Parts: sequence; structure tokens; C-alpha cells
Amino acid sequence: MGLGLLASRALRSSRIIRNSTRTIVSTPELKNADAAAAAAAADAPSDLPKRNPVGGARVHLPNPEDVIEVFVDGYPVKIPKGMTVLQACEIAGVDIPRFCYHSRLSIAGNCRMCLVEVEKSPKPVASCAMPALPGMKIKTDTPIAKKAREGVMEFLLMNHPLDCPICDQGGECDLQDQSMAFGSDRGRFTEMKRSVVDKNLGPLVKTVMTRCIQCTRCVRFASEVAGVEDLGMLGRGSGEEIGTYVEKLMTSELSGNVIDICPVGALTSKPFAFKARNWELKGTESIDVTDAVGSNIRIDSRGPEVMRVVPRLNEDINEEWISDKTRFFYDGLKRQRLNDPMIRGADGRFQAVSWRDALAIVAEVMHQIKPEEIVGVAGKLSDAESMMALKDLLNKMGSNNIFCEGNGMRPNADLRSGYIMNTSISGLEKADAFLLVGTQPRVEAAMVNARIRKTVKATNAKVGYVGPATDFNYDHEHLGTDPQTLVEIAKGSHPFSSALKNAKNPVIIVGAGVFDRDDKDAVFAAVDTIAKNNNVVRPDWNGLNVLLLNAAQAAALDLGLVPESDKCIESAKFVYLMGADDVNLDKLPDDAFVVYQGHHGDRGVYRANVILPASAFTEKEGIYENTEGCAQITLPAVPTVGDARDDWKIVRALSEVAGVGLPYDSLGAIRSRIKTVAPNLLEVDERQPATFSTSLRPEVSQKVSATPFTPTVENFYMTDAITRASKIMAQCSALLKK
Amino acid sequence: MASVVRSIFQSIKEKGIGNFLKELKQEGYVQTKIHNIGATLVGVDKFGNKYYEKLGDTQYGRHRWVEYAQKNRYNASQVPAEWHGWLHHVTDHTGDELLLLKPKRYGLEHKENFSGEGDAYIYHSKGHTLNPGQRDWTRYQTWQPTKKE
Repeated sequence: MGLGLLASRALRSSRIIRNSTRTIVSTPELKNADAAAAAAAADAPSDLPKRNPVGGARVHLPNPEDVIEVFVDGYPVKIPKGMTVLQACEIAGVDIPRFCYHSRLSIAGNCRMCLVEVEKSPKPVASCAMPALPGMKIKTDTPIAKKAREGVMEFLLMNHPLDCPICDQGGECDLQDQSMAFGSDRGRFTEMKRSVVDKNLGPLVKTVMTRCIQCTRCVRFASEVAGVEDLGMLGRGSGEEIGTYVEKLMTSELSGNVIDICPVGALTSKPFAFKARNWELKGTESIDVTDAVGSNIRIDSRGPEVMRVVPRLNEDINEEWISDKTRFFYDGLKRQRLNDPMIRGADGRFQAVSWRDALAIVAEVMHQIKPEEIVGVAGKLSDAESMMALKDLLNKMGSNNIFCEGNGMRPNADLRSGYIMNTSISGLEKADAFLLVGTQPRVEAAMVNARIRKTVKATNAKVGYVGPATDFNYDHEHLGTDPQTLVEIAKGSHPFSSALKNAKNPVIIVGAGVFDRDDKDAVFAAVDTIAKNNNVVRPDWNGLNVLLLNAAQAAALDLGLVPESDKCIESAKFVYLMGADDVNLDKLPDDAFVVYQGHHGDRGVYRANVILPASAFTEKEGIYENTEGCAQITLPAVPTVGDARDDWKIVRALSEVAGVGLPYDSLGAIRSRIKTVAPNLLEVDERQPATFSTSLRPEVSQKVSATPFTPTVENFYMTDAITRASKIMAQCSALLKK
Repeated sequence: MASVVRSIFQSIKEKGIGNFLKELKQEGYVQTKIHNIGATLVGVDKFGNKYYEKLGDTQYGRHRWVEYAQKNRYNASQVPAEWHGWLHHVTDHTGDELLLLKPKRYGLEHKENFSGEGDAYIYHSKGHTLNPGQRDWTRYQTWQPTKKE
């Protein structure tokens, strides 16, 4: 035994002798909590300053007789019946520390961090699980409450490793923050810490399970929101751990959200591991464009690089979740980028040229070609400004053949209610019956699917599905695979029609994949009949929806990007692809001149004659309209790469070179041009419902065909140029295929 | 000795007396070649530097010297590491013997000090264009055009 060890033992034993109760409380008055509480009660609160609810929340009191009054730290607050003590404290402006409580998940009450003192209660109560009762006197900063928190914190830190310096959560860790605020300044722990084997949850979520404090937020998220019963709690007592029981990957399109809800560094982002610290990142509040939902995101960047994407709260669209594609596609922004204008030479090879030369060639070719043979195709990631500029340019050249990929060759842009989600995403929560037509919301719009799942769980709404067999994470009825089923439902001969008929707020969602069908008018007519027969569209309720696939679709239809002829590709001699990679160019004549304007070297460039490099959505400001008709703006987070320019600026420059100058030189000017075409696009962050209902649609004589609906998205993780360039998405889709 | 005299006369015949004297001066014959007379050539390193030793009538400490391969531009750093010890009386092992001890895997080639010359080492930071190992600050990867099919 070393001398030092002997000495320390001697010292320690003497300390025990000196203080018979070992205390870690550094503030002297906390050492005797009960006495201090009695002293505090003696001086009654005289004048109370006005307090505001945490986070600026407003409390909605629908029913006056269900209102109760409680006192938080002596401050009276009126709350509806059924709220918990913790919620009452929040309304009173007191933020209670918590780990396991999450407002969007069920209550577990197992972390004990939210202990508060309630008068006449023998011991501190866990405020997250305790319903508030009338006249309750809650005390949140009494010595007893403080001592309880300090004690809980000590227990939590007992088995928590001291690896904050190498932990990715460092700087945004709830445990770190709360141990600073509520923890003790010394520890009594001298034993060994326990360690837990890390679990493999796939390529997205990194686990360091020793850091886990068993709050079970991830378990509850997986089973309640994501709808996969993958995670669970194993063991008891100190052997308790989170796991998948058998080695299994987390197969959910929302799995990335467990990273955000984990209050410690047990679940962190695998692609982001050890890449950056959160305090060196610049956050830019932007919009996701990988699907038509337009999830609100924050793009965290460091210098010229996007380091990660995290969700932003928007109750109407994505709540506080985002899909895995949105969260992890960002590495695609750094790969396969186009950074120089290029011209394909006579030998079929691309050569980098200057902007001047590239634009001159495009303008020259454009003038040699008959106006009706010029075709413009807007890509699925195009913003409204660039689509407006492209349409104006082509119209000035005399052509009216412009469309947006995904909308089909005969889109119906006349009735706005015919292509947007009329119920709105948050409105889906009021529904009690769903009819999904040719759409697989789980892969097409994961956030909409999460909303449907939330509704189905809350109201036991019935879900009927017409389309190819697919994966749902809630109970559903597979009614059929072809449009004939719709006709049966319309007639009322199908068993599901009674479910629709009995529903108070029925919802029909038609997938955008229907746009590409030849019998699309007949399908929509059948859907309209179902809507009419089942009272789906009423003055107070519009349950007839179209679920779009791409970020550009809604704005394109609003701006009237409708081709003059649906055979324009077959006869085209000049095609302007503005980021369009998924448009079918097989029928394009071989001598056609193709200009590709975009940010990634994807499918479109292989046919191109000229490449004009553009900026990605993280590098520009642009308006995108989501599937429910809400216009939102992306903001530039990082600089553009190489010689790339904003889409609308390229089109504007080309118009100048071609001698048909467009009359706008700034974003403000182009937006005022948009205002004359689709003023709703300028009402940013404000959902603009459609004015006229689809019942105004003309009669169609077309008959539905027997061709079954086909899946529209084969691979959830790879749907556009950016996600196809992403390595992480490639890993995910490799696992998906397995 | 006779052969030396004969070769001198031959050179004078070829180049003329003026050139011969100039060359003598440049080659350092006056100082080294005459000094070398009577000394033993201990070894030649790979740069062509010759190492001489003359024991007996020389002052101790001045009995080893080097004749540099470059006569017009020479400096002490041209002596490679293996000969340094012998030349400075650190060891009696010659450079050729010590060369066998040179580590194969990580032993670097000897490089003379180029200070003040064209190849002079100048410090350039990681981001400097003249730094051969300049750090690549490009944070994206470009698309490489490949020929279709």
C-alpha cells in the first residue's frame, strides 16, 4: 500500500469522524432543509412580479368550468383541468428541470429530476406525472426542492462517464447544463462506474450506451411517433439498459430524431461524429426541399461546409421532427458538384469554358431553333423565382412548352385545390377516416405519414389504401391495387364506403404519382365522386387532398408551368433542363440541343450539350411552396461553389445575351413579377388555402383503366440529385435493399 | 610524380598557359592538390568528396581533411553524415564503414544546406500557394466529366 493511499485513508476517516453525516450540499442553509423551509415560509411573498409562461406559450382555456387555480411559488395561475404540475409551472413561467419528460411523448416519470415541493405532501413529488389539483401550492425553489434535485443529479451522475470533452453532445447536453444549474459542486462517488455495451442502430445513429441515463425518451419515441417497436428496456436496477434485444437496426424513416430527443450523448449522429462542436457552427433557418412537405430546418454550417441539419419547430408542418433523408442528405451537397460552365466538344468530352462563352453558345442555338421546338423543364428542387424567370424567358422566345418534372405532361393548374393538400398537414389530426389513393406517404412524405399515424393512434381513425402493397406503420385496410376499386367505392358497393360515410371528417389523399397516369382525369373524377358522396368537402371541412412529391411542384403549378403540347419532348430541338434529372428523355431526338443548369452532375448532365453550374438550395434564397400550399423561404447558409450562380441570375443573364432581356435585376423585382402571377407565393410562412373547390372541375368522359397503381418512390433515401450524390443515403439504401 | 608533370604539360599544350592557370585557380589546385601530395585517400563519398589523411609530419588535429567535389561552391554541409564523424575526429571508422549502419527504411538522403541559393528553404504556411504540401481548402468534390458510354 502506497504512502499516499494510506494518508488519504487516514484523512478520509478523520473527516467521517468530524462530520457524522456526509453531505455534499455546499450551501449551509441546505444542510438542514426542513428548518430552512420553515424559515422561508415565515416571510410571506409581498408583491409578485409579473411572470410570463416558458417559451412564450399561451394557455387555451376552452371550458370555463374546467379551469382550476394553482399557486406556483405563491403566484396564482389558471390552468385547464388535467394539466400536470410541471405544465402548470411552465405556464407560471418556471422552467422545471427534466430529462424523461417530453411534451410530445407519453409521461414516464422515471428520471425524478422534476421533483418539486407541494404543500401538505409528505415528500417531493415528480411534477411531470402529478396532475395539478385545485388550490395546490407548488413550491419550486424551496430548499427541499433544491436538495431533491441535487440528490437526483448525484444519482444520475453516478454512472455517467466523465467524457464530456470527447462527447458530441458537449455544449448542447441537458445533463451538462442541468448539472451546472442544479447539481452539486462536489461528488462523493469513489466506486467503479458501470459500463454498457454499445448497440448498433445502423448508419445514422451512433450509440455510446454508457452515457445513457435511462430516460426512455428514445423508446417512447420509437414506439409512439416512429411506430417501430425496435427499442426497449432490458434488465433491472443497475443492469438496466436500452437496447434492441436482438441485434437489429432501427428501421424507421424518423430514426434520426432520437438524436435530438436524447438529453445526453448516448444517441448522437454518426455522420456528424467528431466533425464539429456545436458552438462553432452557424445556424441558418431554412427549408428542406427533399420532399414536398417543406420541413423547417436549421442548417448548421462551419465556413463553406454544411455540417449538419437539425429540425426547427413548426407545429403546422413538421412539429419538431424531420425525416432521416432531410437530416442526413447534407453530405450530398459536397459531392458531384458542378462548378464550371462546360461545353461538350465535337469529341463528346466536356470542356470548362467561361460564362461568357457558354451563354453565347446557348443564346445562339436558341435563336436558330423554331420557337415551338424549345422546351423548358424545371427540376424538382427549383425555387419559384427561377421557374418564373425560365417561364418568362421561354415565353419571350415564343415558346410555351415549359413544365415541372413530376407534374406529368397534362397537369391541371386551373384549380389550385386540385393539386394541394386542402386539409393542411396539421388539419389531418381532426380526421377520423382516411382513404389513400396511389400514395405511400411513408416514403413520399414521412412527416405527413407521422401526422396520419398520430391521428390514427389518437382517434382510431380508419385507413383505407388503394395502391400497390406497401409498408405502413399503422393499422390500415388494403382495398385494392387499381383504380377500379375507386369506382366501386364511389358507387358505394365497396365495404369501405360505409366507413367513409360514417366518418365525421373523412380525408382522401391522392398521390402525385397519379399525375403521370394516362387515366388521371378519370381517377380524379372517381375521387371527386367519392368526395361528393361522402360529404368530404364541406364549408367547414375540406378533406380532398393531393400529396405532392417534390418541393417545386406546387409553386410550378401556381406559376402556370403547363406545357402547350404533351408531346413537346418528342419534337423538341432545344431543351432547357433546370435541374431536371428525372424527366424521361428517351424520346428526345438525337439532334436536340440540351442545356443542363443545375448543381449536381446527375442523370441530366449525361445528355447535356452545355452545363451551366447553379447553386444548391443551401446557397441561395428562394421561395418554395409545400404540398399544403404554404410558401416558405430558404436562406443561404454557405457560399456557392466554384463559378456557380443562382438559378434565376443565370436565366436573367442568358436572356440578356439572347437579346430578350427580362425586366428584373433583383430578387425583389422578380418577386414583384411573381406577385402578378401567383400572389400567394409571397405570403411567406402563411398557408394560403385554395379559393375554389374541385367540384368546379369539368366533366370527364374518360374511363379508368385496369392498370394498377405503381409505387412512386422506389427508394426513400434517394429521390433527387442531392440525395443521390450523398454517401450516407447510399449506405442507408444499401441497408434498405437487404 | 612524373606522370603528374607529364599531364600538366599536356594540359598546357591543349588549353594554353592562360587557361591552364585559370583552371588551376578555379579547381583549387594551388591549395588542395599540392596539399594532398603525400596524403592517403581514405575514401570518396557518393557526392565525389574525397577524404584524405596524412599521419606523421602533420600537426595532430589537422591530419584529416576533405577535398570537396565542387571546387567553386563548397561548404561544410556537403559532407554527408556518415563522413562527418571521421572528418571531425569523432570516430576512426570511415564513412564507408558507417554507411552500413544507415537505417534502410527511414534513413533520409543527405541534403546540403542551400541557404542563400535558389533552392533555399523558406517557410511557407500550410495555406501558402508555394507550400508544396499546401492544404486543400476545397470543401466539395466536383463532378468529373466522363465521356458518354
